Amino acid sequence: MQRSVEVSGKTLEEVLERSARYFEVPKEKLGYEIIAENKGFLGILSPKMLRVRVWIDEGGEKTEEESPQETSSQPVKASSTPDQPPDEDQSQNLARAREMLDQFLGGFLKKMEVEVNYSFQEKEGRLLVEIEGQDAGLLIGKRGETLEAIESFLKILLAKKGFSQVGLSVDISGYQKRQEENLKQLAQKTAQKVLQDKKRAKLRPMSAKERRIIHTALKDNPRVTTYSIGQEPQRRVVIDLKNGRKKANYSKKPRPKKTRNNV
Amino acid sequence: MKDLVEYMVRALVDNPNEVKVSEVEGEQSIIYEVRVAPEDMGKVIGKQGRIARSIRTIVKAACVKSGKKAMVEILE
Repeated sequence: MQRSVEVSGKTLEEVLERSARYFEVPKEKLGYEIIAENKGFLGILSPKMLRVRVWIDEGGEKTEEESPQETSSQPVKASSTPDQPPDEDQSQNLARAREMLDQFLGGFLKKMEVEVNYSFQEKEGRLLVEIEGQDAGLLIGKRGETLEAIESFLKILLAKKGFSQVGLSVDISGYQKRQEENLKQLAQKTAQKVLQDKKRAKLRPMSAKERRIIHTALKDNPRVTTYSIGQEPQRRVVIDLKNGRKKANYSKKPRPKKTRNNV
Repeated sequence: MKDLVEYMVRALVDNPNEVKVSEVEGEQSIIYEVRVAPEDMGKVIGKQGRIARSIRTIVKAACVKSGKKAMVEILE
């Protein structure tokens, strides 16, 4: 049985810590969903409050996460996983995963009432689903958000059906591919600008996946370095000059002195 | 669209027979209330609500054609 509680607190951290004590498990074992968030209207009048539902993650559910190895110094491994089963097993596994997805997608797209076709490809041990057709735009969504949701849903489904080692990418009318190209171009262009201006540049907030593309695109460039700052979903990549100059100086600015007599 | 919500949720849970979806239709919006077995709650919501978010986004997109706003609520 899964136990869940609803907890209120000022910060997510605080809520999770209290729930961890309540359940007597480490924080990492908890799953949660934010139910309500009081953003602190007008900042001062009412305190910030969060209402969170917390439960123990029994470990059964393994949500596929795009946690990239985000540091630029660490090259992203392309395909070789350490404990890969023999090729035969793997291709059989892939075939079964494909069959399961095929079955699901057929019903799924029909129930979504969209006019599209889809096809599978196997590439470097990964499954690739490509969707095309009249309603492709609808399935991509604003900034690709629906596409992302579909991909993440299918990954969860794979994990649930016991195919957690099967890699999956979904693309709709070549959208992901174009996005990737654009990001690579953006990375190179910005790197050039950084070298020209001798000034670091911050990119717009990006998802983990997008940030990884930027990091990877510039990891072999000897003259610039990349790192990320900020919290999700506002996390963004900074492209900076390598060496030659001190790293960004984030230390405190001298504050103007407060005087007591200005009432 | 109710079918779609049911289809997606059933695929994720261990007790598909206990999945109940009801539809509350307003003038500009439709709310889908999803009920699952208590032990399946986590499977539908996911870590940090990730799965629930995916479901919501997909259902929203599917309802674009109908011109109504769709919402998915997961109830115990």
